[in-house]
Amino acid sequence: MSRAADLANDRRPANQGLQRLGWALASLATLVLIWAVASAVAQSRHLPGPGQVFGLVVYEAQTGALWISLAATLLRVAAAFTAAMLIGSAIGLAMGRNPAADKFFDAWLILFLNLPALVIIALSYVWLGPYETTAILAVAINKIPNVAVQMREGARNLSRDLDEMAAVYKLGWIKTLQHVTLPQLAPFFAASARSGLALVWKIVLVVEALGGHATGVGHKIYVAFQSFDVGMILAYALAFIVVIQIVEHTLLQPLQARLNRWKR
Amino acid sequence: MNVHTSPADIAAAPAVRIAVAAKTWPPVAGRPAHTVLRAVNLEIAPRSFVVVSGPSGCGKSTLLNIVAGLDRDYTGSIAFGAADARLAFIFQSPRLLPWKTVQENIEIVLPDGDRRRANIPELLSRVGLSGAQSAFPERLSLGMQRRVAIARGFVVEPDILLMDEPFVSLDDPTADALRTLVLELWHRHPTTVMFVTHDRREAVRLATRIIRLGGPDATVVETGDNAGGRQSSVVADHDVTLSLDERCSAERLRAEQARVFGA
Repeated sequence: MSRAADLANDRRPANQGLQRLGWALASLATLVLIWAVASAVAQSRHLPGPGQVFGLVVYEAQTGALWISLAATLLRVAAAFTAAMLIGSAIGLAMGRNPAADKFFDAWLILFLNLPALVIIALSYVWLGPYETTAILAVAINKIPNVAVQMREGARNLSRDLDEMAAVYKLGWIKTLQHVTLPQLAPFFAASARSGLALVWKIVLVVEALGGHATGVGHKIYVAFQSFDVGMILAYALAFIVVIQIVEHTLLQPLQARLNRWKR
Repeated sequence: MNVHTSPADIAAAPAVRIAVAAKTWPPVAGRPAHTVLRAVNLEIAPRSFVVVSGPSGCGKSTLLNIVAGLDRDYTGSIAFGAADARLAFIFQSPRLLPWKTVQENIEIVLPDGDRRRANIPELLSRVGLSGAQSAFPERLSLGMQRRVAIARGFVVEPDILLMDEPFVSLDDPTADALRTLVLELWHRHPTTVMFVTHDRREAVRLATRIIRLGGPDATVVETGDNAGGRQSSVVADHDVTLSLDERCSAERLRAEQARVFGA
């Protein structure tokens, strides 16, 4: 009995997280140092040092331009991400559960997986015009095939054993969906959400620049690029990386850890 | 510990009436269609502990799945004594939900109204799991997981309890402890049990009645009361020496039996 109790209370040591943070900080500090040295050696306005870039971040934050751009981009990321997850999951589940649909649409999936982001973006703007929905749709279409592939894998791996257990004990379809089916799909959903966020935010910046939108981080970087203002490009890039990392660590990673907490 | 089925019970309507005319697997990948069960007609008395035995692959598990309603692709019929018979199934693998704790795994099979009524802590201590109620199944040993599956089977107070080789791949002492546990629970909550095993020693140890399936397309080759076997260890010891006939031949089994018992 005590063995079972010990097993129930088994938790990972808390200082493991601190140790990882230490390594990350040391590694980033080294990168900043290399950057500072390179910039000091180059003495070029095309390679500003870390201090200069950090100053630009602070300046843009004080004028408010940084926050407005970040908010505009984050809204687009959220909309495109949500659309891609919903549509991609629906397609993936349908294909995973229905062999005929899987066989038929597999070729389409491969086509869309290999369609370059630039092509999707260009065609979206040509066909739909320079609107906000075009931006969101173009980004979502880029991500949907990846989500569909991952969710299809999840749907294919649903356990028949557990379905039978649910049937014999007459759990009913609501309890079966909630406690048997969805928990099996959750890890696939979490994995595609994490890889999805990384992909979506990068494509959103491209869309903002190419689509001629007047707001967002992509727009700022595009303007800075036209005057070769490397400092401003780096300032916005770094600010956005920080924001995405905050989303990743405060939302997605805890979500994934929660979904996987039963794993040994 | 007298576990005979009383004459009154035998006279009562059967808890399960099995009439499987045939169960045939469709042809797969070049293998022709193949009949696993033919003319299996059985009446299972209420509160009996029926062990269905026979060599591996002779259709025992298929029969249990048919009774459970998991396999509906057969000709024949299954009728239960109670109109709305409550079933429980203890599978060969524990089939627990890995993302639910031990307690949640047991609670989930209860209808929402019954959750308060069922005394889960007491059940857990009876199956030797007190202290593990908030553990996740994958952190438990296979023996412990099987205990959870047994508790889940009994908690619904089933009219029919189906068990499909629930003690395979356990070491002997663990398997034996679980056999004792199941018998204890069965005495405390009498119910009709159908228990599948290929292990004749296990069959003799548990059953009030043993049904043996055999033959090329398995049918009932032998059915008999096992009241004597459960009480007399001598018979059980002899039974251990019987070797199983992998080819499902009832004749060879009988011949071997005759040799062992010198009949």
